[in-house]
Amino acid sequence: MNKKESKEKIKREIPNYLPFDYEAVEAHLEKMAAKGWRLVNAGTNVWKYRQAEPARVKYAVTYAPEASVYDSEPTESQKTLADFCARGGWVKVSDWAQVQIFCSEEENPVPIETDEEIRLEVIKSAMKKNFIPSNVVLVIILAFNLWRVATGFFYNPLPCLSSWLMLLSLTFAVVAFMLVAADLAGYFIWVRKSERSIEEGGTCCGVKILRTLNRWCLVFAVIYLLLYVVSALQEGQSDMAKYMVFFLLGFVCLVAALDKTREFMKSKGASRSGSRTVVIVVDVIMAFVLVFGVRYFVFSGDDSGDAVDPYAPEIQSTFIAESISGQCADPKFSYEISEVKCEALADWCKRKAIEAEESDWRWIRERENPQQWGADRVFEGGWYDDIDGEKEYGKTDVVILIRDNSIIRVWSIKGLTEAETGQVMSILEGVAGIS
Amino acid sequence: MPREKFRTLTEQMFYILLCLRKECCGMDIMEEVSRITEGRVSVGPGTLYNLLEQFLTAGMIRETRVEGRKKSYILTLKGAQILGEEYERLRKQVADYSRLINEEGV
Repeated sequence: MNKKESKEKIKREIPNYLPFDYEAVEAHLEKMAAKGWRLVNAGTNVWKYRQAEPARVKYAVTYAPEASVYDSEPTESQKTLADFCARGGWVKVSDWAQVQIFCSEEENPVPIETDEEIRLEVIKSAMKKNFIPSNVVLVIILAFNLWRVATGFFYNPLPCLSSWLMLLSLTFAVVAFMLVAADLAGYFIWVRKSERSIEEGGTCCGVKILRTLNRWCLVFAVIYLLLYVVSALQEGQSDMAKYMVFFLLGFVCLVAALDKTREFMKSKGASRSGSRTVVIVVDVIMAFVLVFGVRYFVFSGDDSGDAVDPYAPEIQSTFIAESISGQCADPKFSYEISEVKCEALADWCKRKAIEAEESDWRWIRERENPQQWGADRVFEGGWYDDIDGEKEYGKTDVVILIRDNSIIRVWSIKGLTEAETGQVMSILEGVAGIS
Repeated sequence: MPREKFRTLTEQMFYILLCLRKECCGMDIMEEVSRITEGRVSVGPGTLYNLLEQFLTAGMIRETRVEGRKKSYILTLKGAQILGEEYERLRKQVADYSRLINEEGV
């Protein structure tokens, strides 16, 4: 993105570097300087460059563990470090939380860090401040999300396997957790390998694999967004597609607002704690607005335009399974007809569909003579009745038919009479060609 | 196995402490080390800054003068002792080398 500011050309980019990957940051800035772009400001989410003559400029990254993004000005320690570096021919360019960026146009300046053990110690102190706590929190949140999604999937996999949207959500939960956990684990592995290398007289290790993984995170996020929108539209859930797009736009606005709030607090000379408090308050308020506001905006629209038949069957299909679900007014029942297309998963899906109906409060049992239903197996289930402390089978409110790789579930709160059962089978036959 | 902190000194640590046998401004140490070693050993500004902080925390040096952000330091008794022990260790290493090389007539 280029923007003319008076006579100076400015370029902005979204950085995607791990904070301890000093080699990548240095190499990137040197490459930019060689192309004629000098770093002006390394913000939390956007880096700003100004156009200059292409030149060979050395960049060096060091760390100030005591620094914070909420400081309105550099700490005394940062200023002293900058004085030391200036004496060594290095000029401070910018800082990005604990990361301090310097440059030198001398031919062979003495490197800022000449002791790898000290360098690693400082990096470890800096990462304890920001990178580790934020990633630990993120891993916990993503682990909880993964557990929630996975529990639902393993409880009854069919709704997920027949919906691209749900498959995508499951995939996202798995991949997002793995990527963030890999980043965190990768850091600790890098520290250990670097410690061993330094003990043997070497330097800190490279971060190549993590660097590649980090770059793929962004690609993954973009691909996921596109697939989500396409799947939602394909499954007739345009509201979900709209929700995702508006949520993402809202998220970008939230991040930009937090950056602006931090800059504003800095310009007012606010203390670190004051700045942090204000940013957190703005963050919480905007997060609420984002989550509930977008939901309200997208899902509480006027429905009078297109009348939707509540009894029309809803079809969802992927290459793994297909589900047709719906409800009927007379007799009153709801149904789900699923077909597992992937033979390897068929038995497991059938077993899970039956187990999903059974719990401490609900019973399920197999009926005799499934041929009456035109099925291979028939199960019925319902709530337990508590009679004088004893559990007894209550009224049947669900019937599950298994035929080949098809699973048909019929729910009726009041229970179905024999005659109604016949009607149900005719209706379902019409819906899905069952005979 | 990781070296115990300051039990043995790296070359940079050794020369920084050696410079501080007399009062010296922190920032001048970089040039002083280079001068003493005739350019053989160089201490980066980031390394120097962090080592001075560590020596201060360990009680091996103390501040003598503060002029704004310019601080001068000098060795403490503890620092002089550690420096002396490192010198003894290196001296023994050199002596062992000389003795064995002479014995073997290489």
